[in-house]
Amino acid sequence: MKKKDNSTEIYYLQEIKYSPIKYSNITHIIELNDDLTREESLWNMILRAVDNSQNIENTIELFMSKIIDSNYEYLDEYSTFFDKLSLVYREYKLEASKKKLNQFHEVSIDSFFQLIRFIPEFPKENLDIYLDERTGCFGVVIKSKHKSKPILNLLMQDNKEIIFSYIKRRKKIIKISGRAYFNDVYEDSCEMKKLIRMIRE
Amino acid sequence: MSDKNISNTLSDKYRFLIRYVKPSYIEYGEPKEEIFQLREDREPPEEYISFYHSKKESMYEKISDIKSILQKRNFKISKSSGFLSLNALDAIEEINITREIISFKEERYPHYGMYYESSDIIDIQEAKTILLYNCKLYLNRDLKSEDSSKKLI
Repeated sequence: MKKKDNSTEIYYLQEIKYSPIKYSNITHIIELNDDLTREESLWNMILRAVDNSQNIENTIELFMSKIIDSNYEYLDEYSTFFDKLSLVYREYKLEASKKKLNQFHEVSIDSFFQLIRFIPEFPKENLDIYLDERTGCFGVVIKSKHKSKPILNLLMQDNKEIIFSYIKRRKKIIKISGRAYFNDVYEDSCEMKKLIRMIRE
Repeated sequence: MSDKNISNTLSDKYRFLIRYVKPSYIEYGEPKEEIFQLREDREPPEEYISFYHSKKESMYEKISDIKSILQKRNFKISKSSGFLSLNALDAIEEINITREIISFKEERYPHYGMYYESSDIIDIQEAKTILLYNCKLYLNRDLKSEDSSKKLI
């Protein structure tokens, strides 16, 4: 069941952007949107607050620490995701630092935001995060426990396109691959459900 | 088509290829996507994904055979590493069914290289996903305790 937000109090996001207000003080401030769950609405607000921090020195580590410090209501449910993300990032940087002959692509901050914006839509289990050495972009592989064990691989490109590939076997191999684009409006992230639905059959 | 193309050199009976998997590319006993990325530190950059072939019968024997080949070449095999097996002929058939995306070529037997022949990002993503779907990972620690008479399939 989708939880609807019953808040009647609306603050403009612009106010939040320039306000030093702590997340703990604004948990009741939710953009009213009938299409979104409370989790999705709150997460979009957190992303906007973190993303708008105007500091060109920002790094992925700093973005992650800001999110973890936000006291976001559903953060505990995301802890496995962020643990995996942090590990993948650190291992990529470590491997890159050891390279002497050919270099990995720099990790894409845009791809990082393309990945984390969809966390409410991703399943909490059977999800593997990776970094692509050719592009420095993040990707996820979602596996299903369905008897045919289908898998869905999503690569979050920094131009906001998502390269997807869904594979399963019936009598023979089935492949569904292509590009998806969910623009830069966080409220539209919920359309990721259309791709995830393939793996949730 | 190269004369060293795998289809011409591997009989149906010996269609499995084995790849060493380092610990960081294994999570909860499952292979990670990075296994099929070109990540080795080489100049010029790595052009293919390395696999090895063995003519031994069972999967356990094949992996043991390849482990000893690697060790003779002073390749360090980590305790928490693994070996993945891939039915290379099936992979070629399923990945290349509509266009040529990958190829396997002999690179001084028993070493084989898997090449990405397409530069299209969707083709490569699809190939990697099929490879991940088709491969089977054997953890090194399980192989050590495996009775050599027991045949892994």
